[in-house]
Amino acid sequence: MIDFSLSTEQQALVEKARDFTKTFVSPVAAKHDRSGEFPHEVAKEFFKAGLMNPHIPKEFGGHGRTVLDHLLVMEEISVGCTGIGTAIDANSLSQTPVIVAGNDAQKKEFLGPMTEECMFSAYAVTEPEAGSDVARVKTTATKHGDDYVINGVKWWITGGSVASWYFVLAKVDTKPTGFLVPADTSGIIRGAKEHNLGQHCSNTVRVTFEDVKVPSKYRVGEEGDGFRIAMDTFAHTRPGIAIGATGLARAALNLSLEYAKRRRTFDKKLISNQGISFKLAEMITKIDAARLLAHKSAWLVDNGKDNNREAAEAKWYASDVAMEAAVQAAQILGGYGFTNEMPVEKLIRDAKIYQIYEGATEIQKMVIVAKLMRLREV
Amino acid sequence: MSEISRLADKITTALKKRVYGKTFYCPVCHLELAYADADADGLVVCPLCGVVIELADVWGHPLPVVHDVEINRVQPKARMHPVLTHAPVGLLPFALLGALFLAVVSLLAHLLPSGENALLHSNEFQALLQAMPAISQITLLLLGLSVGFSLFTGISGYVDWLRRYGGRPYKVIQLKIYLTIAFFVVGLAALLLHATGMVFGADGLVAASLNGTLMTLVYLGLLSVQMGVIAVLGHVGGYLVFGR
Ligand SMILES: Cc1cc2nc3c(=O)[nH]c(=O)nc-3n(C[C@H](O)[C@H](O)[C@H](O)COP(=O)(O)OP(=O)(O)OC[C@H]3O[C@@H](n4cnc5c(N)ncnc54)[C@H](O)[C@@H]3O)c2cc1C
Ligand SMILES: [Zn+2]
Repeated sequence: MIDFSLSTEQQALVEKARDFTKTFVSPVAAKHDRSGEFPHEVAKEFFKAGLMNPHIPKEFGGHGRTVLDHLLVMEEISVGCTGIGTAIDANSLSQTPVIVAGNDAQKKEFLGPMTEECMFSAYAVTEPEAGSDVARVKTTATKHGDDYVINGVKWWITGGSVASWYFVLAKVDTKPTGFLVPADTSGIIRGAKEHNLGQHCSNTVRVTFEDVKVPSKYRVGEEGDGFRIAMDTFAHTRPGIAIGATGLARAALNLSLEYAKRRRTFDKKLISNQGISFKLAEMITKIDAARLLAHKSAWLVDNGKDNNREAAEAKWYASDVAMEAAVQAAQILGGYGFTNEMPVEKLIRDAKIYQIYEGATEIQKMVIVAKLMRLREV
Repeated sequence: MSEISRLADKITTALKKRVYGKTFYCPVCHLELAYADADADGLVVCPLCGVVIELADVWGHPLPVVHDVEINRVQPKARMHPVLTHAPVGLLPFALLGALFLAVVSLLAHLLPSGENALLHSNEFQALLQAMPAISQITLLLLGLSVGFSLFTGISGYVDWLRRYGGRPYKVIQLKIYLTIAFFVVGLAALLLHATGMVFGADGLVAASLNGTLMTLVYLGLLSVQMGVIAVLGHVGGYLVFGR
């Protein structure tokens, strides 16, 4: 049975997120893009509205929302601003390893407080020498009695300087292992905020670990489980990245459509030229396709099915759609698409990251091919 | 100085938020305009650069679409207002300085122990005391001129608004009108206090009483409020002439 309709609760969730976006996100999008200031106020409202930390299970005080339901929220938020969206929703990435592989004590200690006040956590996997090739990470965790001592440099960590704890991937001997590390542990050094091309208000920093002592009760799963946990996490979060990109593409469509309906050249409205209107037709079609891929990959993981290929397809495709839609929207606005006084040029800058983080486009294609190789027939 | 300018900026932002409501920026000259500036058809003519904008709101994002530009508008050089603003703005700080000087001298005259104090009995201080009534009068005159000129500045601004801006109800103009009225009313109150001798007596000094002290504080407070109003007015007006 295939059913594309939303339940009443889902529809209500979409409307709530849409109102939230129009009230709290879009109006400050340009301001945060210019200042690069972390959107603490928006995050607080996001938390108050019950939209933050969606996946924390109900028994630990959370909302226990499905991946698909959270996609419905994040698409709306991303129409407002993906920089703010990334900043206020990055918790999901670091909470997922705890949710999928942590024990109850870890869930209580690390997730519990996040349901009580607006707090942040970060996913510290990438290193300067190891991005796509996660297995290459050099950070070490050395066992000393009942503790582990972590040493290494994590790089481009979203929310790294606002986080109150980190999920860290380190190697115990040669075994990749995940750890939960409170941010106030001594030996943690947070670098300066990076000046990125887009998503300016999202906080991306270097986090260095120098002899950081972590009790073994903070190890997630067993020694050697880390790589699998990191990959399982992506199965849950890549659909979300895909929907962020879809939301951005929708913003590009909304803005360029409204513009084309109004702006006049050669005594007629822009939209009455097929050279322009076909761009809009292509945009909406690709947005629909991206959304369907994202939703399907979320639905699969929510139903306990393997979604690796579908999540990779969604993440790759939607990020390309976002980039293309942003560029086309700027083209439709002409010079006004290039000035930072209008909301479109920002979309180009913000879109680019979707083709890079949480596995760059090429890596998604590698995942797809790996699955393809194992298919008997397509 | 930069502190004062930052403070003025802060107050301006807060006031703008109140008076303007939701805002957007003219994509051509970068002037901050209010959504409320748009007419029933969603059209607004930028008061600074003259472009005719159709304002759309797309998901909370302002999308100003430029349709036209008004040219041959009355040019700034024909305007009295920007020139006239310098009079109240230039005079007020001197009035405030005069008031502060009078207050300080009064304080010295009343507080220093009269018996053996050398400064109090020095010829210079005595001469200063002689001059106090005149200083008080000059301060009053400066304040009177500043408040008086503000009336002309206000009127010339009003004329400018009708001529150059076609009398369109811009929030920025509304804010300027409110502030001008505030400046004028507060100025009148200060003038009244000073002219009726409630602050400085015939000897130009503050009376050595609780009432005298209170009146002086109120008077200085009123002048400071005027300074604040002028700083904000300058900010808003500056944007209207030069953009952001
Ligand atoms: C703004 C931002 C936020 C981030 N947030 C986080 C975070 O919160 N946590 C975290 O752990 N990491 C984070 N990252 C890191 C991000 O996930 C990595 O940058 C990304 O995985 C790519 O790794 P890399 O930059 O090392 O590129 P590389 O791995 O060096 O790859 C460079 C390029 O080569 C391509 N490539 C690599 N291998 C192959 C191959 N075999 N065949 C074909 N092409 C290949 C890649 O696709 C890429 O285009 C963030 C990065 C950025 C920029
Ligand atoms: Zn303008």
